[in-house]
Amino acid sequence: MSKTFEENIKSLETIVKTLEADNSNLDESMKAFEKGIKLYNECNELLKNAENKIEILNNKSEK
Amino acid sequence: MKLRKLSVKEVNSYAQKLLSYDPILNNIIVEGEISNFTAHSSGHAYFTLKDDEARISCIMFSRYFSAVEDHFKDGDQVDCKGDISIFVRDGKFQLYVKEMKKAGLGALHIKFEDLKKQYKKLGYFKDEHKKEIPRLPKKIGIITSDQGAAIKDVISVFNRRSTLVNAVVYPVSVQGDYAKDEIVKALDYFNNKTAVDLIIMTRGGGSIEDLWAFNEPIVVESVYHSNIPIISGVGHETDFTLVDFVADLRAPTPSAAAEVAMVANDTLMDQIEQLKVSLMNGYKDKINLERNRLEALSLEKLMIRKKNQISQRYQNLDNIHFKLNQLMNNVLKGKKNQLENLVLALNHNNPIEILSKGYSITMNASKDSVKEINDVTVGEKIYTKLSDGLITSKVINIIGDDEHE
Repeated sequence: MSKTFEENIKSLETIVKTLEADNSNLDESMKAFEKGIKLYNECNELLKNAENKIEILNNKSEK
Repeated sequence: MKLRKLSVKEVNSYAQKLLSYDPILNNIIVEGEISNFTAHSSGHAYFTLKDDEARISCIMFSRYFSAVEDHFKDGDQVDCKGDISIFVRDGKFQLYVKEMKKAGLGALHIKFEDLKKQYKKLGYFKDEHKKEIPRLPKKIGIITSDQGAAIKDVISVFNRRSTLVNAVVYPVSVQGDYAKDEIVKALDYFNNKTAVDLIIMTRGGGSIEDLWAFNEPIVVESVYHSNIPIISGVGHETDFTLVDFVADLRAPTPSAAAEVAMVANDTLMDQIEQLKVSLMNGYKDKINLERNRLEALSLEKLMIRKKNQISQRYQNLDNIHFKLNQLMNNVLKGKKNQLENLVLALNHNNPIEILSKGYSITMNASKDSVKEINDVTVGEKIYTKLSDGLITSKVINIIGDDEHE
């Protein structure tokens, strides 16, 4: 997972906007759609598999 | 002068009466430190007020004590308003407290307001200095006490709402002499030594003294100069500190700070589902658009063109058919005229008519008309057709035109 959830969401939003804007040709649209679905799946996976990481710094000397 | 003996009660009552006449002791404010504080089950509070040189017993009856909002304990510096009297039974000189408040509190409030004014004037609280809070922070730095309820609240909110939390807690003292320096150190640590993109500063509620670290100029400056967005969640809803004003976002409580910092999983799930629907619709629309374009461009237009061609041919055919009919009619008309003329001419040349004018036709036995003299021989029977009948004759003599008798 090189990209963060938010970056993925942002890319997905951009793709949706591009598709809705309708100045791309069909080939581009199909590619964009495939990429969008991929991003959606990644977001979904990320969300399902994510676990909270909460670290408490140990003691004051460490800082 | 002979002294009159008095009972103990009489003495105490007399002293009590004397004190009650005194305009000063009747209504006074006494400043001191609380000790031996006891809140009795009856609702009355008993304590001693002392300073460096003296002490006085105090009683605060429940009807007054229940009205005070603050909590008091031994060691608190307080201002007590009330009157001095003597408890007759015990001969006890004491202060009957009607109102009590913490001394110095007023001073801190004044200081708070002064600092607030000062920083407001410097523009520290202006919206234009507020940094945007990232919607989904990659890593959150939390500055709080690892002892208090605040950290538990924050972590429990995180765990309840989200699974995407990545947080580092930097434990600090949130009150007391070391608090301000530790908080500044923590801010410095998150700004320079680790990659967080959001900081939460939080602690539970308390008195203005408890929260004072969050009003210290050194802390306010640090928050103001932080490169990383800061959410403050100090105290309860009604507690305000200068950090709340200078932070990029103020949450009313520690839990609220955690909630605004982290988008809930449900919300994110909704969001990506929405995006998926938009994606699907966008794609479907695109496909439909292209399909329509294709249909409009090729099939439909082709059909129309073909139809046009066909109807053109039909029209041509119709034209030819029409012309042919016209032509045929003309021909027929011509023939009819010709025929009529012929009939007219025929009628005109009717031999019967000639006969009525006195002419006649002569025929031989085989009904051939006799035109020349050579057509007949002498003695042959000939037949003459007149207008109203037939005469049979016999040739007696034949004379040509050139052989006159």
